[in-house]
Amino acid sequence: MTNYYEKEFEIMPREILERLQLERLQTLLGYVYEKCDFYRKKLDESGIKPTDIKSLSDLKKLPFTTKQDLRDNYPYGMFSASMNDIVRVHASSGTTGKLTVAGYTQNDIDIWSAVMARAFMAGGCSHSSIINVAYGYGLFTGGLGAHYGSELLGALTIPASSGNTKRQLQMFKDFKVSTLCCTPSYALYLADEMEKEGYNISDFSLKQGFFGAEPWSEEMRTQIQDRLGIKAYNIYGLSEIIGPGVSIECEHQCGAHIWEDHFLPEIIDPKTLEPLKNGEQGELVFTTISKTGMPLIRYRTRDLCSLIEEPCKCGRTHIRMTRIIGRSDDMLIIGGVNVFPSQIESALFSVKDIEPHYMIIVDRVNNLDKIEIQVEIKDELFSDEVKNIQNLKNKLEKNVSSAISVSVKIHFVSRGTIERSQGKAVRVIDKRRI
Amino acid sequence: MIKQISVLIENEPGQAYKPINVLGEAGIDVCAVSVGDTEDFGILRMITRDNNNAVTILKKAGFTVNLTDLIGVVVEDHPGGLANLLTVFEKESINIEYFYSFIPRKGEKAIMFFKVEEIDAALDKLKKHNVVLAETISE
Repeated sequence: MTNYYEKEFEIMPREILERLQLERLQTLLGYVYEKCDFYRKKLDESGIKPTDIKSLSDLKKLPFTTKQDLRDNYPYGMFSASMNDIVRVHASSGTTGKLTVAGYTQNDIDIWSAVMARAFMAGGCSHSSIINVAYGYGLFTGGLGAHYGSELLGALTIPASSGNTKRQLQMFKDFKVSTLCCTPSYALYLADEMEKEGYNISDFSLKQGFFGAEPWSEEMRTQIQDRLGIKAYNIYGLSEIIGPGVSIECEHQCGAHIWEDHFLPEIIDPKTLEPLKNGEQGELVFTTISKTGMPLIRYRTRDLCSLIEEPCKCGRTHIRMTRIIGRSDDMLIIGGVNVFPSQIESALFSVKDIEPHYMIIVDRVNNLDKIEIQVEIKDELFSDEVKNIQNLKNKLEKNVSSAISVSVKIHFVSRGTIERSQGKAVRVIDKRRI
Repeated sequence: MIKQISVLIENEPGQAYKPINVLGEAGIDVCAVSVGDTEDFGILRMITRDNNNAVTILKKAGFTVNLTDLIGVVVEDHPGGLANLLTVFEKESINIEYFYSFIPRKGEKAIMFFKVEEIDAALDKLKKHNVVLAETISE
């Protein structure tokens, strides 16, 4: 039996849903035009007045918003609400070391909690679930997003945060955890550790898990489901739009329903920027139509996927998205953390005399993402003493790790080891098989 | 002072062979070798009979190369010979980073190579004692 958290909205007939979307879009455009200098200027420059948007198909007339816009207006320039009404910020890594900031009003926190509660129920949770939130708590939206949704649902919420795997397993067993929230790679790592620690699936009461913050595959799903004895659901979101809960799979696990009463999705061709038809693969773009803190118009996520419009067996009328199959920029997701190669480069070059030849090698070892950076070392920096090279290595590792919030290993290689490319340099080798 | 050539090597099988082989093929005699290593990288240190050419050849072959001055000391090849020498270093508070040896031929005197913190000061101190410094590697 299908359970809904907000049934009226979740199974709303398309016709009524689209009418609601248009109303909300029009209200939003008037709101941001009045409140946000950035959008007023942007709309004026494109020669569009909020009142020009008469139907949902007019959405394509609106200008795009990019991560660069968020960076240029750091930290608060993208907010439409007055600062007194902003109750929280979250942030993710930007390309240059500056954070990408998202601001929330109480209204936005409430929306976010509700879409997360919808997500939990879509995956079979209820107020009697015991939900272990093993996403990181902090600026990253994973932890607090899942936490607030779980509490709103009335489930017992365990703010475990990430790491300390032994303790997590102990809690699974002792607290009778029914539901796990973490990255899919951490779920597999937990399965490995479970075996090592001598646990059996029967020691636990796990029923389902909500996995996201990084791309994963059907093969990983099968592994997670078999090894943990649970149903594994793909959850999607990004802090700019709201955080986790932008979309979620239902019990049929056939694509993630986008909560269209809050987030208007489009797929565009990342080169021509022209909208593509449902079913065609391209870049996912969102317009938030109910948020008040930092509403975004046609925000380019850089995530590549396609939309599925066929009705779903679960009864939800909201459109589904396929798994993310890649990015239209060079962003890497390492253990759920967004990392741009440019951040690594600038951290490396903060040390004088480092050769501009380096290679970022990403791999997944025992289900955990690892970054190794091969760096060529100049004769001038090279030394006959181990401690000097070790110090240099430690310094570089510290600089890069603190710049990207992910620990890295530096590996010095001789001059000429790293292939010189004729055209655009290849700086990243991603060996992960997802 | 004796010139030492250091080469960066990765801590993987076959890595020490490569630079040694490059020099061998160029007809350069490598007299003494020592390795400083960590689990991640190694530093191959060598004393050769033709440093100038050795450096050029190694750089050309793509190695990361460094030249360092070492103190060479002739040591009597009998029990206690090295201990007597190290006593001098201790008395003079000369801090040794690392050292290794070279024995030209069986039965001949050995040469010890020392890397110290302040080489000029260390040389002055050593000269006050009955220490025989090696300026070159004898043929």
